[in-house]
Amino acid sequence: MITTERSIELIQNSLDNLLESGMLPEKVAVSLDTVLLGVGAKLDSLGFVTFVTDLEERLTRELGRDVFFVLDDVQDFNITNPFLSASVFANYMVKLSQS
Amino acid sequence: MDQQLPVMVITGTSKGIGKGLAEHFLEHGYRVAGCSRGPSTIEHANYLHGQVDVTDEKQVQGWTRQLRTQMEQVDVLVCSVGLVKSALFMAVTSGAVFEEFLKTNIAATFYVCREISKLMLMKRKGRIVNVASIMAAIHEPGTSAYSSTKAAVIELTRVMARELAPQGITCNVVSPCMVETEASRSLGEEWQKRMLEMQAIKRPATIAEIANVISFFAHPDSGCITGQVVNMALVA
Repeated sequence: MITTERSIELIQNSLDNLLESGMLPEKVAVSLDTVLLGVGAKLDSLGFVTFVTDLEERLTRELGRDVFFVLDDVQDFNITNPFLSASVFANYMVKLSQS
Repeated sequence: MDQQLPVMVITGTSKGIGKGLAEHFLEHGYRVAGCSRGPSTIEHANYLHGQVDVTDEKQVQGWTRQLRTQMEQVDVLVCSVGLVKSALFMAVTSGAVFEEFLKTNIAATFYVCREISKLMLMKRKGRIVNVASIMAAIHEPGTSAYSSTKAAVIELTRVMARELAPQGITCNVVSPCMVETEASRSLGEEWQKRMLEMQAIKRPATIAEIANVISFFAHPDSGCITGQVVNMALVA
């Protein structure tokens, strides 16, 4: 099981990795309010997919078991008006780590 | 396994076109990761087999996670798994038969492409080649389930091609004509004869000829070729 704080750290690590590979134009200092998807996000759609894939891998390593993100399972995620903040996603990661 | 060789993932490698392609590319400088529902039918130092039902989303996710660990990269994906079986006119085709085609021909391709494309996205390069069929361009009576699901594979590939192009991943389709396989033989001589009559080049294609199209799409100089369909032995 991981904490919200650790989830935020993993999100930060993923975004740093994307920055290094040139998929993110500038450094993002992740806080609970950081927008990951939707209006105000620094990532484009494809960047978001890469971010999720990278993060999934990090969480798998962290927990020592296979973890697969399913965006439909994220509480408050609306597919017709996609918006995700770091806090919502961190909470989802915590729940996933408990399941 | 020679870790220096490029990696090609091929689905449906227990028999038919998938097996032929796996054997071909093993002999042409690739490490091949294949899969089928059953155990491996290929023995080669550079071949890695996964026993996977690719119509099962979770199994596909688990398998690709293993590939990520074992192969570290995927250079080329060839989705060749498909269902070939005799069917009736649409009006008398059962829902169960139609769903079987949907699962094997399109859902499996969707799951595998989705998961493998994520690995390619991380490396920002890759080649995806999906195997459809010229039947999608012929509109032959009695093939409503088969042809419509193969046409869906073509459309899926074209949408993927647009989505993934910015990250250096190309997505193309090879649509084979008749190929002599266990599956095509099981459909009978009459069917084979009718099939050849519909083709502009009236002979079955060989595995090497299909592999040649895949090699073209996979070639480093084919980086500008995406969203294309090569129909074999057919003027479409």
